[in-house]
Amino acid sequence: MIDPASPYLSYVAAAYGACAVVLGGMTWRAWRGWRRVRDAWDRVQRRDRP
Amino acid sequence: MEPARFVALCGRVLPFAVALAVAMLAAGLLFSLALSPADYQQGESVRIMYVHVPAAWMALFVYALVAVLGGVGLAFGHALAFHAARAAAPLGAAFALLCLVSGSLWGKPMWGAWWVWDARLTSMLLLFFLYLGQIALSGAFDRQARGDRAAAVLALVGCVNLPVVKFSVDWWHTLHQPASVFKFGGPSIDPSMLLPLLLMAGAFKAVFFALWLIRTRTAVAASRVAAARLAGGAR
Repeated sequence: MIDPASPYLSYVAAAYGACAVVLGGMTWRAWRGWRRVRDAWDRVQRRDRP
Repeated sequence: MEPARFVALCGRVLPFAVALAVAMLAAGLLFSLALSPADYQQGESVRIMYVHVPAAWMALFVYALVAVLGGVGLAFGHALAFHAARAAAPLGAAFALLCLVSGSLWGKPMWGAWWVWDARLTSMLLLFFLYLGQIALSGAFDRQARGDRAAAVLALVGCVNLPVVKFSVDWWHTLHQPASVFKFGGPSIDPSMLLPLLLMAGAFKAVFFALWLIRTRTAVAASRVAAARLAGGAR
């Protein structure tokens, strides 16, 4: 278990924080991109359906 | 593959990909923060390795993937390959950035410096810039197809940098430590640290795969929607 008294704790926290920001940011951007296109895609699919 | 079929296939695969990514990330974080020991020399700062090294591996892997997809797109004119390459490049850039930032956060307590112009660090920074150039080039043309082709050429040329990143620690005397996992004679890292490292590497790969699916699906759908709008406007 990580030692809360470690002098390196702030560096470890910053690295995992950066990881959370990068992974979270990528996920948010990917999902937002899909949500923007999804409705238009559904309309095209409905129109093309015989 | 037909765009509608690809989008439908992504919709079916995605829940499993997301579940795998979440499960692997949870296991990876549990092992890297709670169940793995501190290093006898580096103390708790060694836990930065479980973010830094998988991010570096992913940055290299995604760049190779983007180059292969670009090559397939150039050779066969396959639109899906270009969509997939365009979807992967920003993810690879994000992993390269995470590698640089976490490396800097590890370097300060261990080396006493946030940054040194060491061969490994410099070649990784170059890889990040190659990603940025590729993303910029892809969107720099009025016609997406021209941007895709230009970005694919840059990706293929930039592949020269991949062995430089990997072998820089062997070719030059660097402050950065040499390879301890992928090397002749097997890993020299203790199993208690190798397991969390591999778990986090698997988690990053699973996260990338899930996000890559979402982004490729978005790119395919967006191009289909744009084509339908053009056709609608022409009628």
